[in-house]
Amino acid sequence: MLAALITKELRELWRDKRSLLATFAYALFGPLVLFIVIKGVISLVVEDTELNVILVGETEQVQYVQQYLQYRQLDVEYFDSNVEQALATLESDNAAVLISVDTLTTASGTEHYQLSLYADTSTTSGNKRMQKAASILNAFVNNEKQTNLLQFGLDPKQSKWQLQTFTISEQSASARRFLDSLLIFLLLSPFIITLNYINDATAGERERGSLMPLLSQPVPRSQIVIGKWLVGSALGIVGMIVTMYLSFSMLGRLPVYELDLVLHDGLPQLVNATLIMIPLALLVCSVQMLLALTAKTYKEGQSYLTMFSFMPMLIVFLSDSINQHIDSAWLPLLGHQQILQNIFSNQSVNSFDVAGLGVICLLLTFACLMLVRHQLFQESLVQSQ
Amino acid sequence: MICVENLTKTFTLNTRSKKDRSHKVDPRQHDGVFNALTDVSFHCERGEVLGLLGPNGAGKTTALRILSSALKPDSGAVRINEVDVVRSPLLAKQKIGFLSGKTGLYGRLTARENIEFFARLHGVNDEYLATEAETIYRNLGIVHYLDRRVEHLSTGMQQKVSIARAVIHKPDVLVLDEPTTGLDIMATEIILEFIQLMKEQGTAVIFSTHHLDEVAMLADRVTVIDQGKSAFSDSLQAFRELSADRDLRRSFMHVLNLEKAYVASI
Repeated sequence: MLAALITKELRELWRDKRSLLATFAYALFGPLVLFIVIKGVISLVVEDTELNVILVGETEQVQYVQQYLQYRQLDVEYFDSNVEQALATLESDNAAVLISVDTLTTASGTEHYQLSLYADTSTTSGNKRMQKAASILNAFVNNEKQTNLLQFGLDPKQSKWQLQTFTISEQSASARRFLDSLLIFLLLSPFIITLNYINDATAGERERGSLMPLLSQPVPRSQIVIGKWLVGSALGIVGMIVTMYLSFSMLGRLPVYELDLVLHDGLPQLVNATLIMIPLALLVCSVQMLLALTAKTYKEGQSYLTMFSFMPMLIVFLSDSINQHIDSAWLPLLGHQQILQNIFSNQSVNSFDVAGLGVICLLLTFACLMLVRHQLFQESLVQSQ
Repeated sequence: MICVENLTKTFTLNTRSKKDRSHKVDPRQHDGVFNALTDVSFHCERGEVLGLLGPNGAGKTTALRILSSALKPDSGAVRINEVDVVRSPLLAKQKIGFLSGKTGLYGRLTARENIEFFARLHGVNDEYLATEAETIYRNLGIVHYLDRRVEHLSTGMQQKVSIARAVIHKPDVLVLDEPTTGLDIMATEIILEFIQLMKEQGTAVIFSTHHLDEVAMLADRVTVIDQGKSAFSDSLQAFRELSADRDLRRSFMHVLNLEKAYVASI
C-alpha cells in the first residue's frame, strides 16, 4: 500500500511540470543568483582599488609577510630603506600603500612584530586602498593568532603580531555576518523546495476533493501520512544537497577573501553539513504538512507555508540576542546555524551537540507526523468537501 | 447485507457559522450545535437497490459518509455483513465502494492510473487488473480514454471513471452520492445501466438522488430523509401506494407533509 501511495505521489509530482520547475528553481537558480550577488559585492569592494605594496623593514619576518601578500595576489615591492625614504616613493605612486614590519621588544625581553600601514586616504580610491590593505593584514594577523592557538596553544591575546591603527574584531564580525547570510540561503532551501509539493499534496488534495476518497479506502491513515512525508522529505533533501553543492562550487570561483571570508568548503565539510541538514529537512517537511493541512484551500496553505519560510531568516537575524539568553545548540535552526558556522570556518564541532540536535529534530518530526495523522481524523476535513 | 440503525450525528458550529445562521430558523440548530442526523434507519439486502431521497440539507450526504466510514456517528450502528463500520472501519471499507459528490480523481494521473491506484489500496493484484478490470471498463464505456489524463476528460467521463474506481475491488455494497448530477442523457443512461448490472451481480447498491424517475427505474427500496430523520423507509411498492394515483412525486410530498402545497401547485 505504501508503495502504491508513494508511486502515486511521485507520478503527480512529475506530471506537474510548473510546480516541479518552481520546486527546483531555488536549488538550480538560487546558487546562480547568489554567485552574481556576491560577485557584485566583491567587485564593489575591490573596484578601483588597484593595490601595489611597498614593503620595508629589517626583520626576518618581512619575507614572511611578503609571501603572504603575494599569495593574496598583490604586487609587492621590497624597499631596502627606512620608512621616511619609502614614504617619499609612495607620494609618486598613487596606487600604492606602504607596509612597514618592525620588531619591538618589551621590557620583559619578549619580541613583537608590528605591522604599520601607510596610505594616502585623501581620495576615495586611496581610502579604499587603505581599507583593502588593512583587511588583508587583519586576515594575516588573525591567521597567525589561529596558528599559534592551534599549534602551540598560545592565547590569541599574546600574539607576536600586531597591526597598528585597525581593530581586528570588527573585520572578523563582518566576515561572520557574511557567512550568516550564506547560511540563511542554505537553511532556507528545504523550506522553499518542499513548499509547492507539500501544499499540493495536502491543502491541494483537500480543495480538489480527492482527500475524502483516499480517506475512505482501507488504508491506515499513518501510511497516507508517511507516503506523503517520505516523498516530500526526499525532495527536500535532494534539493538541499543540490543547493549546497552548487552554491559552494560557484563560491569557489569567487575571490571571497576580498570580503575577509575564509571558507572551508571541501568535500568533508560539505558531507558533514549535509548530514546535519538532513534531520532539519525531515522536520521542515512534517511541520509544513501540519500547517498546510489546517488550510481549506491551496491558496490558504501557500500563505501559511510562505510565512513559515521566513523562520530561518528571523532566527538567524535574532540568533545573537537569543544566544545571549539561552544555550541554543540543541534548538533547530539556531543549532544548525551554529554548527554550520563552525564547519565552514574550520572550527571544532561538538559531536554531542550534533547528536543532540539530530535527536531533537527527529523527535519533533515524529510529534508533527502524529499530529498530522490526528488531523486526518478531523471531520472538518471531510465536511468541508 | 447493510443495516443502518438509529444513526445520530451532531456537528459543532464554528463562530462564523453561528453568526451566519443566527437569523435562519432551523429546528436542528441550537446552542452552537447542528443535529445533522437525529434518527436514520434503513437496510438494503444483497442484489437490492435502495434509493435515498430527501430535500437539500436533509442529511443524505452525511448518512452516506457515515456508511463509508469517512464520518463517525454519535450513536447508532452501521453493519455491513455483520461488520461494524465504527468498530472495524478498515474491514468495513474493504466491503464498500463509495462515490462522493465530487469525483475526487487525481487530475494529473490517467484514468487507468487513478483506478489502478485505488485497486492497489484494496490489495487487488495485477492478474485481476489485466482481466476482470477490463470488463468493468467495457461496461462503463471508458476503454477508449483510459490512458488520457483525467484533467482532460469531461464531467461525464470523469464520473464514469470514478464509478469504475469505486467498484474495481468488487465491493459487497456500493454507495453512490448523486451519481448522475450534472451529466448528459447518454452518460446518465450508461451509469444507470451499470447500477442495474451491479444489482444483477448481487451487489447491494445505495444511491442518493433528486431524480424520481431513476428511483422508479432502479430502486427496490426507498428511504426518505427529512430534517435528519428517516421519514419513510420501505419498498418502492409501498412508497408508490402512499399516493392514490401511485405518483412518486406525490408520494414524496406526502412523506414531507407537503402534499397539499404540491397539489395546489399543479
